[in-house]
Amino acid sequence: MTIKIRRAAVLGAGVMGAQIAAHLAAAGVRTHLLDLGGDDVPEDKKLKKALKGFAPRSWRAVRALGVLQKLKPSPLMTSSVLEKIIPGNFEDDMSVLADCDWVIEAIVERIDIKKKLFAEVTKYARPGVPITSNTSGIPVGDIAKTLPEEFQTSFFGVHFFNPPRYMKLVEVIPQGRTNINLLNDLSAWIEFRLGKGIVHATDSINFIGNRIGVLGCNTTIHHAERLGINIEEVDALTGKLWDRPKSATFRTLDVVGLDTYQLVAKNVYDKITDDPYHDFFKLPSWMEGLIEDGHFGSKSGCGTYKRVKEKGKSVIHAYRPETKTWVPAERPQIPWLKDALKQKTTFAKLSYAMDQNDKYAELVRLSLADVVNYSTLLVNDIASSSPKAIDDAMRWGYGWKWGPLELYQGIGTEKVHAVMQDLGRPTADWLGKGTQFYKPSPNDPQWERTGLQDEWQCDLKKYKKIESPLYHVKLPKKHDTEDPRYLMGNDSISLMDIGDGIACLTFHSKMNSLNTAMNEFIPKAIAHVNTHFEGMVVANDGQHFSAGADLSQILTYINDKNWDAIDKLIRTFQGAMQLLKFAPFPVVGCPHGMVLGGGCEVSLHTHHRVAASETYAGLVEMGVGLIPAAGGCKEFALRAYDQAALGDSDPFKFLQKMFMLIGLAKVSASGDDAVEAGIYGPETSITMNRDRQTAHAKLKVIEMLQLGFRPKLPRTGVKVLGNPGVQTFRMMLYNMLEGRQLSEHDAHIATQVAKVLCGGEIDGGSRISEQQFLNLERVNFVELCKTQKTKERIEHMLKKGKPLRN
Amino acid sequence: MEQAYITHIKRSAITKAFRGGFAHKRPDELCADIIRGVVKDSGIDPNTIEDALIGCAMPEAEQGMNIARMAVLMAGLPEGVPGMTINRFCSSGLQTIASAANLIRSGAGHCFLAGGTESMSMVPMMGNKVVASGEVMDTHPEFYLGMGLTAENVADKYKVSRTEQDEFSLWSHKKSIAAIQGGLFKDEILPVDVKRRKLDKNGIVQEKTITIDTDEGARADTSVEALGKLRSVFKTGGSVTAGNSSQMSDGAAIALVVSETYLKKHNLTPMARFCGFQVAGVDPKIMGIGPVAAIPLACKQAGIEASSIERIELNEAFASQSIAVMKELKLDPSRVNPTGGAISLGHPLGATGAKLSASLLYGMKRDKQKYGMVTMCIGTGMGAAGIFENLA
Repeated sequence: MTIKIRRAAVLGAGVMGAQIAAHLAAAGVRTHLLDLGGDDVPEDKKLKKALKGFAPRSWRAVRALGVLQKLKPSPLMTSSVLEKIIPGNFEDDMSVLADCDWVIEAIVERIDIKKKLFAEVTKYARPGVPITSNTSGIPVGDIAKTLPEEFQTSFFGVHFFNPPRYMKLVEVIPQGRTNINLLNDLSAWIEFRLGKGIVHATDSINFIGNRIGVLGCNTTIHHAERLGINIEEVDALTGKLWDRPKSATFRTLDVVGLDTYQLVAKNVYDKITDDPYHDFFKLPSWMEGLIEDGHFGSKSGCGTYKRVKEKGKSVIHAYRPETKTWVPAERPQIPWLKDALKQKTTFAKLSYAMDQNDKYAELVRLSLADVVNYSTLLVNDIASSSPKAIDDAMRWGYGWKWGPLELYQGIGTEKVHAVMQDLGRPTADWLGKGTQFYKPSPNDPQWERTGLQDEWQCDLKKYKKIESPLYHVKLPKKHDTEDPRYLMGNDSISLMDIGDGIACLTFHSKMNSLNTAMNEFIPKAIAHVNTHFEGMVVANDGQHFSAGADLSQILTYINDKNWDAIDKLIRTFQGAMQLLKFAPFPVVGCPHGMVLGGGCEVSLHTHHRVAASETYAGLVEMGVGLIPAAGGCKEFALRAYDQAALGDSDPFKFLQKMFMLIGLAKVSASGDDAVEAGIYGPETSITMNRDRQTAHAKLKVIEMLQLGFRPKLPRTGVKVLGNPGVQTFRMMLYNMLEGRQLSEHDAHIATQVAKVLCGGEIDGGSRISEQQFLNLERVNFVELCKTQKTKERIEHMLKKGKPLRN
Repeated sequence: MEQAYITHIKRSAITKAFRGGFAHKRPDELCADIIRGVVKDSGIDPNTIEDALIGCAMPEAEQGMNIARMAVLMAGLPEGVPGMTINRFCSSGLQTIASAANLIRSGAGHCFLAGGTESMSMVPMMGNKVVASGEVMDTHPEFYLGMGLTAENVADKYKVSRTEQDEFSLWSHKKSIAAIQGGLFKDEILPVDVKRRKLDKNGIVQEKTITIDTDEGARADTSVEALGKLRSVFKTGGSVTAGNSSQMSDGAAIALVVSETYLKKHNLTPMARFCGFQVAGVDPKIMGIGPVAAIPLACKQAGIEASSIERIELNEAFASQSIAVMKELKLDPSRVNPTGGAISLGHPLGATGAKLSASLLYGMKRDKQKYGMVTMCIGTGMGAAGIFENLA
């Protein structure tokens, strides 16, 4: 990768353009966001205020920055991202393109308007700098023709998926004159620096994701209509069963907008009349009726579902095409679904469903067969004969756990092939019932260990070796003693050799929650690393780093009134954390996804963190009636006292910030936010690329070693606020209680947090050791366990999955 | 007994905290500007000033170092003029006038500067460092109850509805807007210059002087509907909002308080005679009701029937407590805050008592009224009331 993107311009400040700009800015790129200029500033107080410091003629781009602040989920990793976006307008600011290393067009899907804009772009942009279009509906080759010849080689499609911060997929589409080296260079940059997954698509209508995705969705809808399966039943059959997002089919369409979805489908319907599934791209008449009536989904208040207030409660209603009315949504009664969902893998779940004999199973069979069949029919044309491109596109762009061709092989090619033949549709002539797209197979344990090694090239009918990138450190998601890197472990945790003298401590319990077996293992792992390795990474390949401590274990002890066991459990946990912190070798953590409670405490005790940009970390114990007791309060307190000492200031303000983080169970909105909010200290770096996170952490360990790593030593004389601090926190809590902002039990728990942060109810200015902080954590944790309300909170969380405020 | 008179009184415009005209003006500098203006207007020999009593509710940081003495020195008064900072929270500015008057009445002096100053932009409401007493927390945590919550308690106890509070708030804004538009505050406000410094495009500091001469808080565009949409800020499900509470503000006000002997000797014309002042304590949980206890005592001390008080500047700490006080004492609404109050014009804590005195005296002069009163509730559960006779 030789390309350097220091400054970029996004042309078009619509929802997509602005979000792309926000993502670039979050990656540290100075980004210009330009849109139409004009003196017609709307009469809007907020806009006028926002325009302060900017040219009023750039009001459209400035307004887009305001929109970014409101969108949910937020496209902004932190609000400071906005400062890195420079709003401007097409009329006055196009000269900035001369300084830009990448120009991204994201304006309205009209080729005449794009042509006009590109005429201006090419007056200013440097030849050779990539100029890309985020078009999803116009062939990239057609747009290229509107550019002067010297710019055509650097022009291609780079199609982000909405929302660009969260969707991994970026489709890269060359046109006839594209300089492929430039395209590959930029693709590598996007993958590395923006953390996206690149799929190379051909210049076909809707490219890959929206071609296969719409077909998959529409065939399901058409089959369901024919089989007489209602909206709720379709969603019950197309979400969890496939390990796809819970919003499944219709709820997803409501969020996307039925009108938007129709446009995407219509694009294929109108432009590819010889598509083998042409008629499936037309929406059923009842959906067209909803759109005609302005029922677009969430944005218009109702679509296939609507939320209705009944007796003060919000009730979901679902549409019934036959009566053209919304009725209270029914709980689907699909006889075999519960048993299917008990199967351990997606392949087993779907296989179980396919073996059933009713209309619901028929929907699963037909939906699967059609999407696989369509993918095989198109793979040569739209994905340069790469099955992986299709599967990657569907996983990264539609949130599917497995792409259609991975499902084909994982479920069993013969089984799916048989249904495909029953469809009576055209099939790919090269596809045999035994065609294996991948080696190893997705359902082979080897896939888990090493990932994909060989891919079937559908045109050449032979396997291509997939070079595993150097950075890729794949970690086991279960206890796998067969993995050659395995050193030691148990059902929940393993120690792996990840090369170059570095070991990796990896979790693989359910939701990576922390149990005693793991905490008892950590000292053994540290002893082993101390003897045989140079350093250690704490990382895993789960969706989340860790959802926290195993509450069911604590509840069992509470029910048995076995307070000594809880005391011992906390001691063990604290001991494990202290060993991490005081390890004589560098330990680098890799928080990503949810990093809650005990999980957060693990990450707080590593010497450095390489956090994923999508890290949602926080000490959330308040929600279950407890306080952080594995060193979380202690680490927050130490940081607060150290920060105060730097400025010779009153520690209370610093402790208050930490107190509020724990009291409000604040969870960061991103890795950057975790640092800005003060959850993580400055020994944190952020990587946008989750795939490289473990490798980055490994590099960090090596760097720390090379720079002469110095182990930490326990603190013995921390000057604390003591009782005066505790009383001041009590005063705050009293006022919050009087203002009904918290419950009595909230105040009680928060008082225990205050006691730990202040070093106990002792004389102000006393000095205490790190261990004494831990003792305070432990004692107060056990005392809270003895309260009925804490017990109720834990029970509620385990039963309902959300906190109880009692 | 010597009588005490106010010959001159001026105030600054009251500006919004954090983003208003005085957000970057130090409270000692602002106070010095007003002192300079009052002394100049009066034409007295500053060497005859025996003390300067300055009220300040949070006398620390920019307001620390005995701000009264600092302001005197910064105003360019002779170094022989001393200064004393007085704190009784929201009544501080009235307390200083009363204390100066009582010094005169007791024969301890003839000429004093009295007033108050506060920058809520620079020093937060409870000061920069709050440390609670364990004993208080164990026995009487209500001593530390936030002001907003006491206003909620008053609303509950005296059954003041949310609508009543919002209507009162709107009433305050309307009166203030009318007063500002009618130029009614022109005589009492001393225009103050502030310097704003900003970096220009070349990184050079550019200084600009602007003159602040108009109160900033009043809103012409508010309505009961708009106020009704605001959420309660102190208590979940409560009725006290940012819209029906006083505004955080910056400001200063200074009076020249002299004896009858001094008046005659220096041939000064009095604006008003100080008639009496009283403070009383109430339950801290319903702090806002303080004036109900203080007003009868002040009237008794002054020997004046409450019914003969034609103009009342009742500090609108919160609409709930203002309404409760008016209801409890059956105050005639037409006599209360005819040019608006703290909800619309702002409440620079330690300056408020003197600021309201300025508005009262100029208002009585304008409307040819004889007796007037300044009254307010005070944090931790007190009330204060001071009565003046118009001589202008």
